[in-house]
Amino acid sequence: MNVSIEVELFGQRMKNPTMLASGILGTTADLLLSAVKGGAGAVVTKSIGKKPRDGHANPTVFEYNCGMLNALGLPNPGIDHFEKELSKLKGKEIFFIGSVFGSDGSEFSELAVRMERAGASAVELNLSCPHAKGLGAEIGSDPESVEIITQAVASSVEIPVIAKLTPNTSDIVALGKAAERGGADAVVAINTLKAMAIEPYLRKPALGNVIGGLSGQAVKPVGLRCVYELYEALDIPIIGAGGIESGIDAVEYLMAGASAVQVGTAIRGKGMAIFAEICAEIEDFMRSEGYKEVGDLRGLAHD
Amino acid sequence: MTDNPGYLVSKVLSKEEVAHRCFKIGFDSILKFQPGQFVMIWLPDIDEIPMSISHSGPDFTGITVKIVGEATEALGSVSKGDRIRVRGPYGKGFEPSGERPLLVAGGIGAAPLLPLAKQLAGRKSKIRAIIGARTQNELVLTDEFSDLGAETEISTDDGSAGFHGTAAELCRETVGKLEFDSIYCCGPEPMIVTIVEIAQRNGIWGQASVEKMMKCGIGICGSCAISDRLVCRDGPIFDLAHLDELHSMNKIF
Ligand SMILES: Cc1cc2nc3c(=O)[nH]c(=O)nc-3n(C[C@H](O)[C@H](O)[C@H](O)COP(=O)(O)OP(=O)(O)OC[C@H]3O[C@@H](n4cnc5c(N)ncnc54)[C@H](O)[C@@H]3O)c2cc1C
Ligand SMILES: Cc1cc2nc3c(=O)[nH]c(=O)nc-3n(C[C@H](O)[C@H](O)[C@H](O)COP(=O)(O)O)c2cc1C
Ligand code: FES
Repeated sequence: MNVSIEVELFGQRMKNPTMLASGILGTTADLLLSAVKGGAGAVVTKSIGKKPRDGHANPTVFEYNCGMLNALGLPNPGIDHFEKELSKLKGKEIFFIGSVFGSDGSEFSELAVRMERAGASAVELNLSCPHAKGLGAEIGSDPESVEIITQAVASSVEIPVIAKLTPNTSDIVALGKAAERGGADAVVAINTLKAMAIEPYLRKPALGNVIGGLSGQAVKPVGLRCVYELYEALDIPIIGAGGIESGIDAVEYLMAGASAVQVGTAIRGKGMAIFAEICAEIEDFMRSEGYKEVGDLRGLAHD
Repeated sequence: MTDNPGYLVSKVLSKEEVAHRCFKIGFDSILKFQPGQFVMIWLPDIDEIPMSISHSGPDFTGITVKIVGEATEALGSVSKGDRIRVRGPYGKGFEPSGERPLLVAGGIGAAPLLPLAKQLAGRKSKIRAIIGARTQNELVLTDEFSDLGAETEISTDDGSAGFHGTAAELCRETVGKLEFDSIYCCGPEPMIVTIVEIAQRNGIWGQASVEKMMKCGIGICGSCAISDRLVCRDGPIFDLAHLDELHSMNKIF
């Protein structure tokens, strides 16, 4: 049986529903291209701010078998430098999404405009990093700020605007609705869950910043729940993320209501080849369960 | 911490000053490693930094640290019995090859080359080592290389011992006089650039250890990227031919 995993997201075609999640190796043009080569349908850049930023002191990661913590603290070269890096993608067949972070609507808008000029197919607003003061989830857990920032960006660029939401809230639907009201074309759920680790034999928190974000397998049930709730409440597409390692994980997100999925932590073990693997597994599932179009899976878990 | 076996809180077993502000430190964890691989060492409240594994024994693993800043100062200040957290080993090590290998170390660059020399000595290779430093009291691990049977020459930038000049210059001279079938090197970037060129010109295969800012060490953050390669995962050891290619595309150094 012929199956198609092509998807259309805000009017643009993606060869498959998988994307490289923001912050996982998306620091150079060559790495973004290697994700495409590995089979990703789209790639999201590392979150970029106005100025270069070192991020938090090491240790910036802590691993578990079922996931990991990171407290990188948004290290990035700043938009001036990153624009030059992105210019290397000009003329390449690549669906890339520019991720940006800032402290208010005008900063977000300015960065989004620069991403648009650099050739981004869409812009993703990082309203959800859980370990950076005055940025990310600190502003992204307030629906009003989410709406204001989304609106500011949506009125400044032509390209689609994606709001990336934080699960560190009692009501992610309120955040999703705020993004939708602000004019977002899609939302991503989820960013990492606020968490920490302690090194008992040294009697110390195991991350330089003490608090970090949990990702990987361990957060999949939380991500699925968020996507499920958002699907019930929103009209705009939802991009699912959190602990996706296999085609079956991706299928679960699609059934919860996602139109596409992002993969981050799983790249640690398998490298960029994981995208092709996930796609092949989605196709296998569709064949064995009798689905022709990947879009037919969307929201199946809902009544 | 049974869930992540690569993370070890280790006890410092030995510490020895091997050069000016340079210490060889052994800790009580047994790591299975390839020469050239590195570990991330955490100095609480300060930093977590990459260190090449420089030596090992049946009941310990060791590093050799040169003090250059706050974290290396803290590492150089540990005492016997202190605890440090080590994770790794990470990265891709050297591929031991050649019957007549040439090892070139600039400064603390001798650290990852020492276990390679041991491995090559085990393969009965006829090793020649060039150990360079700015000045005599900064020469690192020279006796250790000699003890492994390597024919060891030293160079100092100021001429205070051995050849007067850089390790790269001595390398050029040595390659002009003698035959080698592999070159391994670790040291400052200008030295590696010169050796890449020497190796290419003489058609000798080789590898170098490359440094980049390490954060995660596990190939997820992109901090150590060179083009589409990650120093922590695909390196820190790279073929000289590959470095030459990257260099000519302006992607490294
Ligand atoms: C793969 C690898 C193996 C290494 N092996 C050894 C070794 O065996 N012995 C040894 O003495 N040194 C080694 N180094 C270098 C060592 O990691 C740095 O000297 C150390 O991180 C400096 O920290 P600091 O706080 O003392 O100095 P700082 O003042 O913080 O920095 C001094 C210099 O070290 C570099 N540096 C700082 N932090 C890092 C980091 N997280 N990753 C990479 N570079 C950094 C900076 O670029 C700077 O130029 C290695 C580096 C790498 C990448
Ligand atoms: C090392 C690391 C760095 C990250 N950096 C960013 C970032 O810069 N911007 C962002 O929006 N999300 C960032 N994230 C979150 C991921 O994009 C993703 O939302 C989250 O990790 C859940 O997906 P996963 O379980 O597949 O990793 C980062 C995650 C990790 C593990
Ligand atoms: S240090 Fe993070 S990818 Fe290499």
